[in-house]
Amino acid sequence: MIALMSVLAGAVEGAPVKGKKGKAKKAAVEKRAAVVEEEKVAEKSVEKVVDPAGVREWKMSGGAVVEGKFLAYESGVVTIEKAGGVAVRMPVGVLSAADRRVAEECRARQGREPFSAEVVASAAARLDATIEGALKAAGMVPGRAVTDEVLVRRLYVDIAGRVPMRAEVEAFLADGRVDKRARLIDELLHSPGAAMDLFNWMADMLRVKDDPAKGAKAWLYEDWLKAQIAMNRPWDELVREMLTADGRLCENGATGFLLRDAQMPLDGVSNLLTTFLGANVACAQCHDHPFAEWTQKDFYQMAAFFGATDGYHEDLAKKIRRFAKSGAVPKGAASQMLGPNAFELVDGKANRLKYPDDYHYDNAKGGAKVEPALITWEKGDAAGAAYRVETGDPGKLRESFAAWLTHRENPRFAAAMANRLWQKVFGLAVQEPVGDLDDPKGAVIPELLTQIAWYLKQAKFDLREFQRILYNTAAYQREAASVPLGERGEWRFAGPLVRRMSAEQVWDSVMVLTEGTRVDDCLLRRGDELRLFALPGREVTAEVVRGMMARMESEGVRPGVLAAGGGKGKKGRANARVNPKVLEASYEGRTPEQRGGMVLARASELPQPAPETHFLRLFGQSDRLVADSNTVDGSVPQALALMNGPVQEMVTAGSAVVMKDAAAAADDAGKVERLYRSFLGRAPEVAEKERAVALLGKGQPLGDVAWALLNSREFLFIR
Amino acid sequence: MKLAMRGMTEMSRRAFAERLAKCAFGLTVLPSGVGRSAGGEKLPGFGSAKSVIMLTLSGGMSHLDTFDPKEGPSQGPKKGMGTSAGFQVSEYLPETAKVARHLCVVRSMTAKVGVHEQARYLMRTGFEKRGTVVHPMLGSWAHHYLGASHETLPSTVCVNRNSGSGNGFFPATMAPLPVLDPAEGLRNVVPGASGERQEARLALLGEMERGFEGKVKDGNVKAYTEFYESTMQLLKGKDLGAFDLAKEGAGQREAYGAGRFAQGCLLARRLVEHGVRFVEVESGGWDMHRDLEGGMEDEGAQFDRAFAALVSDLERRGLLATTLVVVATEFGRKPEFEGGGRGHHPGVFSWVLAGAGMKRGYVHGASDKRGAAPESGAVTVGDLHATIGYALGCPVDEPVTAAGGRPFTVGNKGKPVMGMFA
Repeated sequence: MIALMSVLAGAVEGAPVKGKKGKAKKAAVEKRAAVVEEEKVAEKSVEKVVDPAGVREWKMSGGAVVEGKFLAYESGVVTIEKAGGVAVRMPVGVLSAADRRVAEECRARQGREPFSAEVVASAAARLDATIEGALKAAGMVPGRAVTDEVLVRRLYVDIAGRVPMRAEVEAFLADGRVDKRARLIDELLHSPGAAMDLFNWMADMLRVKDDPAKGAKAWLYEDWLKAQIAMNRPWDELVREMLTADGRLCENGATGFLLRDAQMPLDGVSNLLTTFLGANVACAQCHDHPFAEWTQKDFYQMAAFFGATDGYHEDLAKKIRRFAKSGAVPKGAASQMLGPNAFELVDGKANRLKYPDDYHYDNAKGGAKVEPALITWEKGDAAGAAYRVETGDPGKLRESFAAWLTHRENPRFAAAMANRLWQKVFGLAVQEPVGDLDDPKGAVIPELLTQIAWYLKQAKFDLREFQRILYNTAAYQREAASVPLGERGEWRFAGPLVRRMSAEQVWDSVMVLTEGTRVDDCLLRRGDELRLFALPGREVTAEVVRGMMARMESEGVRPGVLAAGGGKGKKGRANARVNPKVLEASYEGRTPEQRGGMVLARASELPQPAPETHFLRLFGQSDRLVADSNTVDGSVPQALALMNGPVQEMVTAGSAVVMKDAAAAADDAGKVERLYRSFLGRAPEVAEKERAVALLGKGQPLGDVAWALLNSREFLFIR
Repeated sequence: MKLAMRGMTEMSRRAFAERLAKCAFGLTVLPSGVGRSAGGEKLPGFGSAKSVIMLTLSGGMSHLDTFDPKEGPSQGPKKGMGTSAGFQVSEYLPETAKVARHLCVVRSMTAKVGVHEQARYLMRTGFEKRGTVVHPMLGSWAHHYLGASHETLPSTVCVNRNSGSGNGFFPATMAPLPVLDPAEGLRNVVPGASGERQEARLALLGEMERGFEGKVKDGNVKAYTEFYESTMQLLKGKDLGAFDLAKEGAGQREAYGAGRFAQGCLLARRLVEHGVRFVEVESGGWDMHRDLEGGMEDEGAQFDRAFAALVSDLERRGLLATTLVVVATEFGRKPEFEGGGRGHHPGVFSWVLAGAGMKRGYVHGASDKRGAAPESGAVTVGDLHATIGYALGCPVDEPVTAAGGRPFTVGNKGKPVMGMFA
């Protein structure tokens, strides 16, 4: 990484180059003139031989080089594995034209075949048949088919996580092909925005947090998770790796999931069963479950699979605290650098979990050792293939558990994720709440839940292929419905629900209106510095620490400034300007602009979660303390932010992409039309246009029309 | 001055109109006999609280290291200390000890959920989280029964947290206003354009809204329209300064202490003084699985100073008689110490009430010797919600039928704990 950054440095025209500071000056590769020049050169040197599995040098359009193996080219992002197994995400735009073609070639040879259009269409038709059957049985009727004008905006927001640009809307409307909807769905599912939107969604579900505990930093985990999503890693593989990863938080990103709950392993187990299986064991942690069959014993038996694993190492943490107090190096730097080392997944020889002393059921004794055992939901479950995993090896408890949990035939694994994705697409799950599928009669259309679980398995847990089916259903492509809270339990998907955009979608829409699609090229990447924090052993001495600091110095990393890169120091102000050098060093592809103290990058490429008073949090981004807690409720401060805050200033400024686009129209009517398309996806009605044109005629600035559109409910809602 | 306004007939008319509106929303009301004995006499405590400040300690405060200290194996890093009220608090709470004579400590709280998500929901709403129903917080219940508490200010404010677990099944007009950083108060109150230009922008926006509402009849869309209306009202009113901590003296701000929770407590006092009925102030960081000592030195000390300052400040201003301060938390922590801290323990824990008709210098209920289970006077979170609702003067046994046809009452049929009232 550092090497990458220093070579990239040479590419920057006019950027300040200071000493050896490795990471400080890549980027700025978007200078179009330079790129065009590079491409001309590249044309002449197209590589003829490509070994998709081999290590090669990847050239950036600025002349920089990354050495590594091709991993994936998905969603506009090329992932390259560097020495040491580090996956690096690069926006495809920064690669030289020749290497872009190499990436395409490599992808073509990897050969994970997507479903054919026919398969998707027939799967969608089967789901539609089920829904229509259920509607009919309930005496309800399907909604009307939605118009292209409404659908195009819905698809962009739901899939790419932002509103479409005017040109994108018009291109879709002008497209005369009969399968243009299916084409747009495919295109969007492969766009960088789709990976970003899915990351936001997962970050809420998995409680992804920059600072999961005192001293811990999750940057490497975040980088890793984003790379997995960008590569469209199948869900079962992804979860298996999260559950079986070993090593330190500052060395192996995949450990971040389990280390999120390193200090409370029982809660961790409860969380993961709820998230991945929809098994509501929260109650069983303390007492037998009131409804489901869970007993407290069941819960402990499941938890025992993690009973040999340590995540948080108090002894090392104590050493670090003592060392930090000793003053051998500045205290803040010492805790920041060394803190993450106390978080490491290590498996002991055998499970040590015991029943709590106050255990009050007669099926086990308080204080007795717990034997690991897998839970079942229904009588026949234990005979299934998932239960044939070997659980006897005390040294491989997590592996056994993960093999069972992510098994195709696990009774809940596919259903839980399919149900969650259905909720993402339709605004309501087939069975609510998504964290509790224990009641088999709880789904509004039980057959539909079975079917979507089956399709997720058919897709081999490829989340993109699965979503493709859902977006292609006639049910999704109907007019969105307004269903009052109290009636949602009866909703049979006559169409998707009218929804407010998620906090991230509102923000990302504002980003694209202000910055255009180039905002997709700013990819946050902070994990590399974290690797430099890894202690060589378990000794914490002044000598060792000084050695680490010297290495950081030579690599151009200052631990003190990283907090600013994270954007959330103790002060946690949302509107504090980030040191431009830190910003530059934290982003791959392109360094984001800063305006009004805000970093103009997409929500997934900002601190996780954003600082407490950031626009994102105001609009309901989760605090990431509890799972699935993003909200879409309105509030007075939201209204104030849109009416008077820095965001409206940014979007309505003459420099905003949306404003420049509108201003370029020939007359006032044209300007108004363009603004409507950009903000709402549709053309203004005659009366609307007349009113706005009249306003402009009186000398009111064009920004005021944009202001009203930004503040309109129609902008915030997906219909 | 401002407090007196609440008695105005204008407000009563408004409350009446809101009740009518609620019926139209599918919420029906039944008559109630709460607050009166069988013979029709007024019972103590009903309506004793004009306002409530609810301090929510999320993560789960250790009862053993705060309001229910023990000797023996369950003792934490610090011992218990005596107070003038006769009961002990942990040495972690020296300032709180000084105001103990105003407190009503409940040491026999008990619940079933020991994970944050569900426990936090229970703490805020008094209901367990189930299915698709979204339950309201206490401030919204009070708004429903009693009407708005002020003409332009919100009736409910949440400090340091977002507005989730807000109005629940009540209309959005009863949602809390969130203040995410008390030091910043309410931001963005100055319009980007002024005078005629602003009027013209708003007029254009208004036309757009009418068009959209005609096309999309949606509850959430309507809620947003209402937020814009509340916002315009708030901006036109004269009480925006209620949100501005800069109007407090430096000495006052220091007395509460530094930190978002501490300053939040001060903001809560300002808001209550200006006529906001219900203020919630959240304090994070109580999930002390390890390094409980460090946690109590940080979050614990901030709480101690701010809580004591709040109680004394209210008392000095004569507001404690009508303001109920509540210390709420998700659950307690285990008697056993493990890895430098304690695990979750919903079996028994402590909440605290102060002011507004509550007994003072009083302990309700007790936990057993280890601090593991209630020994006497067990109280559920729902009961305490009902107690607070009762103190506010809400007919807490009067069910509300939310859309979908199910009846609900404050604290899920919780019973006010009459023994806590003086």
